[in-house]
Formats: sequence, structure tokens, C-alpha cells
Amino acid sequence: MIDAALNAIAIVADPFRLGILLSGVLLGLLIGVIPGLSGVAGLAILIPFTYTLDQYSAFALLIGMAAVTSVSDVIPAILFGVPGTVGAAATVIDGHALARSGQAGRALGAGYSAALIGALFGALVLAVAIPVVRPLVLYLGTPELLAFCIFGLSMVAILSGKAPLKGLAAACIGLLIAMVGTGSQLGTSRWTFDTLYLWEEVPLVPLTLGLFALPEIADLAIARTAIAKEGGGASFSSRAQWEGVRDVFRNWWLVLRSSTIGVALGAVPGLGASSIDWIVYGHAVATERNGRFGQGDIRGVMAPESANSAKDGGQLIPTIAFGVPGGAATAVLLSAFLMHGLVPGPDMLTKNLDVTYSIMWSLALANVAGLLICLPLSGFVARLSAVPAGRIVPIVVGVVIIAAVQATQDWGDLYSLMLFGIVGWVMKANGWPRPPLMLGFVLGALFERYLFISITLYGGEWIFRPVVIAILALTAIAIFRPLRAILWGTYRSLRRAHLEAFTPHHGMIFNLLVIALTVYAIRTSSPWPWEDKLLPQVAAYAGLVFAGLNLFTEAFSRREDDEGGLDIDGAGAVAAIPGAIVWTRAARFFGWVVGTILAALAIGVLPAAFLGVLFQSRFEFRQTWRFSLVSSLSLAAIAWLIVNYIFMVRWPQASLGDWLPALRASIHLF
Amino acid sequence: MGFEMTRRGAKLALAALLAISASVGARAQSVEDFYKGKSIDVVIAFSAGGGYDLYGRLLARHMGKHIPGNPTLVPQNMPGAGTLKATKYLYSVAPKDGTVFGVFSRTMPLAPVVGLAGADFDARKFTWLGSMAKEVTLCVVSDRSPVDSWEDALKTEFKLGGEGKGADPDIFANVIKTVFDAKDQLVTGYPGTADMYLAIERGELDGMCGLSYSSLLGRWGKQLQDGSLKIILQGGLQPHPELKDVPNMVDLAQDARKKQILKLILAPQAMARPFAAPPGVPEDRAKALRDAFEATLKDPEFLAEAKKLNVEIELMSADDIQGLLSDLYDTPKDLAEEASKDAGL
Repeated sequence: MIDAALNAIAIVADPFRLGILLSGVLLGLLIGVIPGLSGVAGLAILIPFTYTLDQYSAFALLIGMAAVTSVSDVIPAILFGVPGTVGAAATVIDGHALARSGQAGRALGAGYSAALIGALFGALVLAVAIPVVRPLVLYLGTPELLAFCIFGLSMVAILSGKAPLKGLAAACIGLLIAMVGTGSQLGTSRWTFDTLYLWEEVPLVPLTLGLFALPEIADLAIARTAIAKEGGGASFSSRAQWEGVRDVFRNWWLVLRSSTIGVALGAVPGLGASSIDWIVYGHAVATERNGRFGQGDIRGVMAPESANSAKDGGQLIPTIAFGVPGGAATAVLLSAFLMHGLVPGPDMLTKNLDVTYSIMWSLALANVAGLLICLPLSGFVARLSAVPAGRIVPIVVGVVIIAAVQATQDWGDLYSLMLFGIVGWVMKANGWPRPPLMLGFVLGALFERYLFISITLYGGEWIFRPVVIAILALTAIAIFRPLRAILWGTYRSLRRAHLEAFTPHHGMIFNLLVIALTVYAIRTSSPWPWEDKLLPQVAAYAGLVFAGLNLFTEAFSRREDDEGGLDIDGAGAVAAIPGAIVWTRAARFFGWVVGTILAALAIGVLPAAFLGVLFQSRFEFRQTWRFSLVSSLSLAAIAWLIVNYIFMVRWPQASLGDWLPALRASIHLF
Repeated sequence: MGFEMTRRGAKLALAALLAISASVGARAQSVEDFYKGKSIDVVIAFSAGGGYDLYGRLLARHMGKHIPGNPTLVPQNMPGAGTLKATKYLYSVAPKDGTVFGVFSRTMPLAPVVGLAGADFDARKFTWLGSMAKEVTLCVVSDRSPVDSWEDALKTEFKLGGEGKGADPDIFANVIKTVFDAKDQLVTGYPGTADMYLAIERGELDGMCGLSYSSLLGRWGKQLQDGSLKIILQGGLQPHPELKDVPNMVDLAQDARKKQILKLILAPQAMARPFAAPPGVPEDRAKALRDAFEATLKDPEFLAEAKKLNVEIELMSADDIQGLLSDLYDTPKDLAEEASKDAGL
């Protein structure tokens, strides 16, 4: 086995293959930085180039590309609060808070190095696990996979921080959103509103960008300062990132734990980057002492980043050993295996062991290369956080709009972005934690599938299987304290409640909307067959209870000052600004977003993004014509190049193109 | 002031655009003139990585040189709504000038016949190019299952995996139960066939249906050889030449009516990788595309790559698809309804 591993490194270290690996890494870093582009899209365009390569070089290219998207995706997450891929969404919470306090360099350093350690750990586990993994994976039946989902969902209790009832209600809303589409059992159309867009499920990318990116940019537009506020002690010296690297080594135990969870959950089919980063973030919040999570805790960057990279090794385990892809990217990778005549399964552990180990080495080397490229650049990158909001905001809005539409090239992507952007901002402004909603959304559909399969196969006995009991016990331990705090806190608020203490405030409007939504969900789902309405109804009723309790305690309970707990998803940058100004500036900001999207329907996404950036920059933020033109033109040109020529993807069809079909056919812009 | 300027600018630009588009559309062109320097979108109704994607991209790499004017073929993945999204895009939205064609699920052409919700199109009107392959659908069981043959399946209870309503594994697990009274129980909700196979290997399931022979060979050829997976049933208008000993659903049907129903349900297997352009493509360009499609499927370079990729190629011509469809669109309504019920749609 060690012979095979050493033999494989000799194969990968061939200069030609190293060159191929490096070009994969460069492309992967680029894809990671650009929101909306994911490793999946990168693999799809690279696979044809691998036909003429031998197996080792082919996987050096593909793995090199796919592995490092989780290194560079922290850059926009930390700087602008815009996750580069969905796996970096949890990094936004503390990473962007650190950038706001002038510590972008440190956060980047910590993010890169945690990612490298996670990736190396993942590669190591892959190497060690490969010979013994088959019996292990065969132990994981559907009930065990279901138990993992429950473990993930239980993190909601931790991720809700000091607003537990709001968090639980948000998680229920997330579950409800996950139920949109065709029912997994009887195929009922659930809340699809007769659109094809919602037929399968709400796409992840526009939802993530809406929920996390747009609210951060909105706050930046409202605060009107640089990301790193003046006087915040911002330091952009090249030493800052080394501080972050040292942080990672000081917290090696957390990084190791996070990497372990990342590998383990990565190996569970169905659990992807979008859920793993939140689960690990919840783990860090629950286990680390003296946390300032949500306010800029460096551990809130390193935990999800190490897990997000470690999961690559984990996802390859079932892919190589069984041909069951662990995630979306490995599904495409799997087709590359078959094209190169490699059949996943026992052969990969015997006859083709050298290929398997060369994949492991490619994974490790790609991440080292990724770090070596990113780290020296981070001093320069961090400087972007000192650029005034007026220069940054319009460009980032343009990027987010262009990114969102890459999900399915459908107008629905822009509507989702807009809807979830406004919802996300209102949630943030009213102290409703967004991570639980995200977790409910990414785990909901999987939870439903595995629940029904487990019950069909084993009835109620699925719960008594040894591994299930172990995972559920672990879950109970993990959430015992937060759950007790939630119950106790709710009980105390209820006891303190008094009619005379009734204090209405505007935050209740959103609370009422949540209640209305759950009531609507209950009413509209009632006629469905029970297999397809069970989970939607449970989520809706639970959401109603939690939101109702929250409304009641907030309205009638006297506030006490000693209420502890973490403000995981707090108001952040706009806390010091008077309410009226916040609301007008927020309305103006979303006005620009909505305006750009409406313009896109008429003249196409890219022309509208160009005009949106230009006008917002010139008229809203009073930049010079020169700056506004240069920035909007560069954005449009780069996006055009990438979307039309590298990825060769078509834009959604706008009215202008219907009107001028010949022009549409010749320039493919609308 | 700035506003005035931009409005005047916009008017000028618009006038220019109109002039360009008018000049492009005006004169009559030969097919070669039309395609010279152009690109053709090949819409693939699935996400990257699957079987249809493989066929679509393989075709796109080779077909350009067989079309007069040698246009560039650009694959576009357009997944969604069980391929209904791309099908409807091709049917009513995509340009009808011959610059777009695509591939969708083999079950789509018959979706209007069996009354699938949302399938408001008439597949006979597509400008068909042909199908790249024929398939038979198969049921496999593991060697640990109590069922070892089709006869067993009629007597012994066993569990088959499914992905959700309307997916091939679900359709055929339902069909063998409703049409032949097989004793299978459908356990549905698995994310994909790979997950089902894993469930079979760990003993959760006994088998799965609705797999094509080519993908079975590609993924689990070894298991077929060593006997840990066994094919107990096939379904196709004709049996697969390599599977002469495996009973075929069509032959097993007891009465004429059931035979009709099975033919309707199995017809899609004959046009397993169906390529079509929107309805109403000008006849000269449609002919050029059809000829190019057939020429590509005979191109030695193309066939060599197909072999390398383990992709089976067998042409079904556009005319044959048209013929099959016009037969099937005449299916009496009650029969179609019964078929749809049998398949659990």
C-alpha cells in the first residue's frame, strides 16, 4: 500500500503532469473567487480536454481545479460578504465581520491555512481509508444517513444564538422552502405555482446569494464607509495574514475536529458543502469557550474553511469505492472516471490503486499550490476592504446579479435573489438568525427522502440500529445545553409575560408575516396526500408555534438586561446609524437592485448590469463619470468574456432579443 | 441633461441595431451561407455528467464538420422539471431558424399521450433529427435476494428501489406489479441509481428496474459477470441481441390490450437519445441537419471516440421517429389512461 502511494507520487511529480495540475489550480482559484461559478461548471468544461490525456494527468487537471475552489472562495466571502461558492457561506458571518474591523488580512491568512490543513487531512484520511472503507460504508444504511441529517438539523439549536425561538421558526421556514417542488414520494406539485422554475427545487445559489450577500452589501451601502471602518486599526501590511496563520496553529485542536467532521460528513452521500460548513460552524460555536462568534471571531473562519476543504477527501471516498458521488462535483467527476475506463468499486482499490493514490496526491498538491498562490496576494487583496463603499457597492451588486443567474439561466433566479435578498436583510435587521433557515433548506429535502425510505424499509425500528443510536446520542449531547437554555429561557419569558407589559414595535410586522406564511402553508398543503404533506405540515405547524411563542414573549414579556447568548447574526455595520436613515438607504439600495433586475427583463442581464453599475455609481454614490464608466465597462467585459466565451453559457432571454432575434443570434447577450 | 444625452444615445443605438438586423434577415441564403461563421446551440436537458450529456457533447464535437458552412456546435445544459423545461424551450421559445436543436428525455415525446401535467406540446411537430441509440430497459436483482428469476418475482415478495414519481425505476417497478402481478414493493426516494446500487449491496433493497443495458454494463459490468447482479427481465419493442435468454415484457403480456399498453410504455426505449430541432425549421436547413446527424453517426472518427467512451451508437432515423410517434399519438384515450395508471404516473 505504501509502495503504491510512493509510486503514485512519482507519477504525479512528472513535470508535465505538475504543469497540468497547476493550470487546473489556476482555473479553480479563478472559479472560486467568482461568485456563481462552481467546481461543477469548471469540471464540465474541462472534461473534454482530458480525452487526450492519460488517466493520471486527466485527474491531476480535474482534481487540481475542483480542489482549490474551496481555497479562493473565502476571498469574496471575507471582503464583501459574498460567498464565492456555497461552501463559504458560513465563513461570511465572522470573516466579513473581521474585515469590517480591519482584519481582512488576518481572516484571509486563517482561511487559507485552515483550508490547507483541512485538505491535507482529507487527503490523508482518503489514503488511509481507501483499503478498509468498503465494509465501513456498507454499514451506513439509509437510517444512518437519516441520523446524520438529524444531527445536522440539530445544529439549528446552536446556530440560533440568543434568539432561539426566531431561529427555530427560521429553520422551519427553511424546511418549507426545501419542500417546494415535486414531492419525493407521490410527486405532488408543492408550491410550484404552475412554474417550471420551481418544479424540482428552489436553486441553492440565488438563495444563498440573496440571504447572505445582498444584506451585507446593503449594509455597506447604508453605512457608506469603507468595509473596514476608518479608525478601526486596519492593518494591510503583509504581516497580517501571518497572524491568521498563527491563529490556525494556536487553534489546531479546533481545526482538527472541524476537519474530521468535514471528512466524515463529506463521505455521507447527499451532505454537501452547503450544509457541512454550517454544521461545523455550529460545532465551533457550541464547543469553543469565550467565543465572539458573529462579531468577528477568527475561529468562525477557520472551522468552516477547514471542514469545507476536508470534505473533498471525504466525498471522494464513496465516489471511488462505490461510484456513489458524495456531492455535485463528484457526480461530474464520476462521469470522468467512466470516460477514462475506470469503474469505481473494488478495482480502484486493487488494479487501479495507483490512480486512486495519484488522485490523493493531486488533491494534496493542488491545495499546497493554492495556498502558495493565495497567501502572498492576500495583503494586496485585503487592501480592497479600505476602498470606500461608493466604489465597491455598485460593482458587487452587478457581480451578484450576474452570478445568481448562472444557477439555471432562468429569470426565476433573479426573482429568488431579489426575494431572499429582501427577506435576508429584514431578518438581519430584526435579529432573526439566517443560518438556521439555510440549514433547514439544505437538509430538508434529503431528510424527507431518507425518512420515508427508512420507514418503508424498517418501520419504526430504524431508530434502534446501533449506528443510528450512536449518532443520535451524539446529537443529544451536542444540543443538550443549548436546548435546555432554549426551554428554560422560553419558560422564563412566558412566566414574566404580563398583559400590561404589552409593547408593540415594528419588528413584529416581520414576525406576523412569518406566522401568516406558516398559516398559508398549512392551509394550502392540507389537500395533498399524506406522504407528500407530512413534512411540510410538521414544519409549518412547528414554525407557527415557534413564531407565535416568539411574538407573544416579545410583546408581553418585560425585557431583562442579563439575557446572555451570542448574537450570531447581528445587525453589524449599521448599528450606529439612526433608524430612519437606515430604512431610506435600504429602500434606495433595493430600489437599485430591483430596477436593475427589471431592466434586465427588457434589455438582458449583462446590459442591465452594466447600466445598473454605471448609474448607481454615478448618481447614487456620486463617483466621477470616468470611474463609473471604467468600473461598469470592466465588469461587463469580464463577465461577457467568461460567460459567453469560456463557459459558453447563454443568458436568459430578454424582450429586446424577442424583438430583434437576428441580433440575439449574433451576439448572444439577451 | 445627462438623462437627455443617454436617451438620444439610446435612440441612435436602437436605430443602428434595427438596421443591422434588417439587413441580416433580408436576402435569401444557401444553407452553407447561413451556417458559415454561426454557432448552433445543442440544448441538453440534463445537468453535466450524465448519459444524455455524454451523448449530446459527443455529437456536438463531431457534427459541425458535416453541416454545410461548418458551424460551431455549443452544448448548453438546461436541466429542470424532468426535462420538460428544455423540451418546452425547444418547442416554443427557441429560434426556429436552425441554430438550435437539442436532446431531452426519451419519455418526453410520449408525455402528452400519457397525460403528463404540463406537457402541452405535440411532439410530432418537432423537426426531428433522429436518435443516437436504442435501449432496452432492465430489471436486476442481487444474488442475495430471495428472487433469482422472473418466475420467482411472480411468487416471492421483494423490494425494488425508486427515485420518485415518473422516474424510469419507478415506472417499471410499477408496471411489473400492475401488469404482471409481480410481488415487488417499491421503495422510492433514492437520490439516484448509484445510491440504489449501494442499498442493494448492503442488503436494503433486492434490486432495481428501469436501467438501460449500456449504463448497466458501464457501471456494473463486473457485478454482472461475477453473478452478484442478475438481469431477470428486459423491456423493449425488440429484445436486446445480447440478452436472448432474458424474458421480454412485450412477449409476456397475456392479452392484446396489455401488449398495447406495454408497447406504449416501452416505445421510448427505441428512441433512447432523441434529438430534435424546434418545429418549423426551414426545410433546406432541416434536411442539412438531418443529413449531418446521420453522417456523424457513421463517421469513423466519431465512432472511435464513442467506443473509447463506452457509448453505444445505433441510429433511429427522423422518419422512423415520425412514424412511431404518429402511430402512438393515435392511441385510444382509455388505453393511454390505463397505461399511465399502470406506470404510476
